Amino acid sequence: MYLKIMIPFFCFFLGFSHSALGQTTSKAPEIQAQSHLKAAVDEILAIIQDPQFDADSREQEQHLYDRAVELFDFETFSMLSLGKKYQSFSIAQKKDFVYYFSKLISQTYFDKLSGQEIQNIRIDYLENLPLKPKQNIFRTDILTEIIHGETKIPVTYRMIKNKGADWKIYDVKIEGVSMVANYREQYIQNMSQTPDDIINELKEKVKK
Amino acid sequence: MKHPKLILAGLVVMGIFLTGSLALANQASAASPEAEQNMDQLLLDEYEDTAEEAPSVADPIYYFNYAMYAFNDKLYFYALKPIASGYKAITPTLVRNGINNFFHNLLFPVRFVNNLLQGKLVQASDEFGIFLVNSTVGILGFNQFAQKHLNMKTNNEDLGQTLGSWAIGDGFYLVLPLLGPSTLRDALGRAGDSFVTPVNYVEPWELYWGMTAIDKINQTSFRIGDYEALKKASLDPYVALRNGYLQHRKSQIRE
Repeated sequence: MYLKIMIPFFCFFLGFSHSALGQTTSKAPEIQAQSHLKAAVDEILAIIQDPQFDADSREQEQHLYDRAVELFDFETFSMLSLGKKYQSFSIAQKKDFVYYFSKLISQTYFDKLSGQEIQNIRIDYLENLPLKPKQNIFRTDILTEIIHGETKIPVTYRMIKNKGADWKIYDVKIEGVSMVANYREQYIQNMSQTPDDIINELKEKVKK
Repeated sequence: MKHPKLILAGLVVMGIFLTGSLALANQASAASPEAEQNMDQLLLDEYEDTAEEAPSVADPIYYFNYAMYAFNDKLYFYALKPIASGYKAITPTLVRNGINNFFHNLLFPVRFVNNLLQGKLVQASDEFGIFLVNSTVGILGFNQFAQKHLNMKTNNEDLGQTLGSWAIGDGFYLVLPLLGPSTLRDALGRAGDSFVTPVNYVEPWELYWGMTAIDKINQTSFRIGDYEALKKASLDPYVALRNGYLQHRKSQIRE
């Protein structure tokens, strides 16, 4: 309720700060997010469908992972999944965690795409719902649907645009289930784990 | 004054926003590490504050639930999955879709009643129309004619969602044998819905169990691999499943 009342204020301040700085209000950058996402996902689908790769080939996996690194903001993904625990990690531990976590996330995501009969897969881009911009950072939720046959899986991508960088995904919601929130709960449950325990656990998980 | 926290949060965000604009005015466009840290903190706080992102529920009967979870897990891998895989191999997708549609159509009373209970009158009348069309033109519901050709949309509702929309909480987490994750509220809702579930009135009992089994196997045949994927992706599958169920229900109730 109160939040709704606040929104016009935000808009006011937004307009105010822009005019005060003498900037012209440019088109909302959220519009580019969807086309950026679509291009990247199309590229990923093309790699999954590429007949030159055998099933489960290492080379294909590497190609897919390279694309994932471009498309996902794995640092933010990791940070939010670990929650407060992230602060107890050293810089080297953070780096390790982000690396293994990025492997796990991209594997999960590609499995979701490639697990079905890929030939008949279609992705509909339904809606683009920008979140309130904070500082100079833009975020948006892109609602999509993965359709194969008569099955529809709603997938929402939460994306972030940081300064001059491209749009990147930092959370994926599949059928209303946020991956970040899900991992976060798993890490909260296991309070006694040290950063090294967490990294080793992930390492084992990814190796399998 | 129901949400003083929200006002506070609004003020804080506004304050941060203003400082943000001031920083901009100071030409500090290149992000300092400090600004980055602020951003991290902002995102973290946001995820911690929004209850919708991290629904949590009490799990006072954890040991019972865990036993049921382990039972369902074994049941899936040793019985349901092999049966559903075999069934999938010999049954054309067209037939499986038809059976799915048939059982979906049979559950019309559940959707209709719960749309009404939630005051969704338009959706309730849509459900009624879909039921009429699919039961006749769609031949007993095997074909979803209304959805395919009349562009009508079903609105899946059940009593658990209805109770949720009336702001009744989850109670506590409950894992049901065979049926999987649930909560006290959703299990009660399920019991209520069973009164308007036509299959439950089928006689003799052999036919009832046969229909129930086919429905379950048919449904599973579309979802082989999903549970495996969840287990593969998670560090603690029990917690992942619990949290996933709660988030999924929460998003259904919100719709």
